[in-house]
Amino acid sequence: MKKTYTEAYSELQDIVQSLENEDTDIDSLSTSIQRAIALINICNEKLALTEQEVQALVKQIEEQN
Amino acid sequence: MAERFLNMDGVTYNNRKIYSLSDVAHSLKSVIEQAYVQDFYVKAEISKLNYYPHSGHCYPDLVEKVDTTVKAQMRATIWAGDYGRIRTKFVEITGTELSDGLKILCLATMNFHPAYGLSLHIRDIVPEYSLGEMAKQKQLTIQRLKEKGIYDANKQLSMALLPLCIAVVSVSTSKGYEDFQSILRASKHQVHTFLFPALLQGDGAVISISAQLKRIAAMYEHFDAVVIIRGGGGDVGLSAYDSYQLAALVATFPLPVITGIGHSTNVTVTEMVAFHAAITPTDTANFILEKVDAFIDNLHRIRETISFYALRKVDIERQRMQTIAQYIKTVTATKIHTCRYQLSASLQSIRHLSLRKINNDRHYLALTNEKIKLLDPIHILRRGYSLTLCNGKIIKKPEELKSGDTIETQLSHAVIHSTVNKIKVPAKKLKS
Repeated sequence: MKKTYTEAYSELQDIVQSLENEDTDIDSLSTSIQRAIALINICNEKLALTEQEVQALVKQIEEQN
Repeated sequence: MAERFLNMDGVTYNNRKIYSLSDVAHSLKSVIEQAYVQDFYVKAEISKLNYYPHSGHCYPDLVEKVDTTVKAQMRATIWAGDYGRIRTKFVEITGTELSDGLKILCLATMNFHPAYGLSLHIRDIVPEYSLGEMAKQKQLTIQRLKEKGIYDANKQLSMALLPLCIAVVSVSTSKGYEDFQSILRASKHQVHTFLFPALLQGDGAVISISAQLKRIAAMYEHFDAVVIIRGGGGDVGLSAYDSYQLAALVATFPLPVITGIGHSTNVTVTEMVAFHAAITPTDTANFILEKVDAFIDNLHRIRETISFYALRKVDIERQRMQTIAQYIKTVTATKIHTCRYQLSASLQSIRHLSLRKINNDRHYLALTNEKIKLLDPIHILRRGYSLTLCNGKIIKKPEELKSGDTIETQLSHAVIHSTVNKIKVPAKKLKS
């Protein structure tokens, strides 16, 4: 199942925190970073989609009026 | 008795003169004529007019009443020659015909006719006096209506919003009724009228109108209003409308009463107490049509008002939607901007932290390397020490060797191979 923005962002924050706390070892660093980038992409996609949808809906309301 | 008869010679009786009735009458006539030389003014009420159109003479019965009791009464005469003049002037000034119940001031002579008896010969009537009396009567009527608390009763009724069923008290052949009907017919509205025929002026008017009003009252729920229409006839005969009986009936009538009874400059009491007093029958019809028009106009106005407010509400809501849409746009843009910023910050953190992690580990490795390097025996060897090995094993104790063993002596830059000849173990120092 695809993650929601909130879930993806929350996981991203966990990774950042883990990095800050230096809990991540070098072996898993690359995997963590790859995961973080994937999450950022998910979030960005969600944002772009939401932006498009909102603009389309608002335009619809404005055209109706 | 016989004596008396004896003395009766047809001329005298008991020595006294016998008069014929005509003697007495003539004597009386002469006495009266001597006593009443001049004409004089007398005020009285006409209890019955007794006008004979055929001869043109009029023989009014005059009375003076205290409340309902007759205090005096006398017959009177107005000869045809006088009557025409007196009536014309009276009607002209009072607007009323000489009629029963009227109070008059007249110029009269006392007349005694041997055959017809005593009567007042009226030569003139002062209309102004009757006018004053009528005004007094009118004021009394108004006062009585006010005392009974019914003066404003009809005015306080509510007229039907759409008066389309009208009871008409009038005469079908009168011009006024025709005028009223033609105005209604010409209008675009269907106003239904029902005629209740009545005498509208003169002596019988009060009774006749009252009877019809009572008929209408018995079925008033079928009507929206009553109109009383009197057409033509000028200003004469309107005194009926000042009568208490008629005015009270109109005032207390269960429906609004609209009058169209004439052109009089003096408004009658009935008109005063009516719901509305229109002057002419045409005005009366127009009053009803105005009510109908007003109702229809009002409906139009209400429809326009509803439409106006509904459209305005829609407009306001539309604007609100626009504002909300704009707000959503702005808020979303801000939110998305914030999210992007957060993601960018996260990316920066990740980059920074990853690099820091790599650098830290790299640094640790370097340190370890340095540490390891420092522990390398080469550094000791370089300072002039050597390392002895036998069969690849570092020799740490003399017991590990025996004579004849081949040993390797490692220096910093060379390895010396030698054979063990002798092993000498120095004596142990005594502990002090």
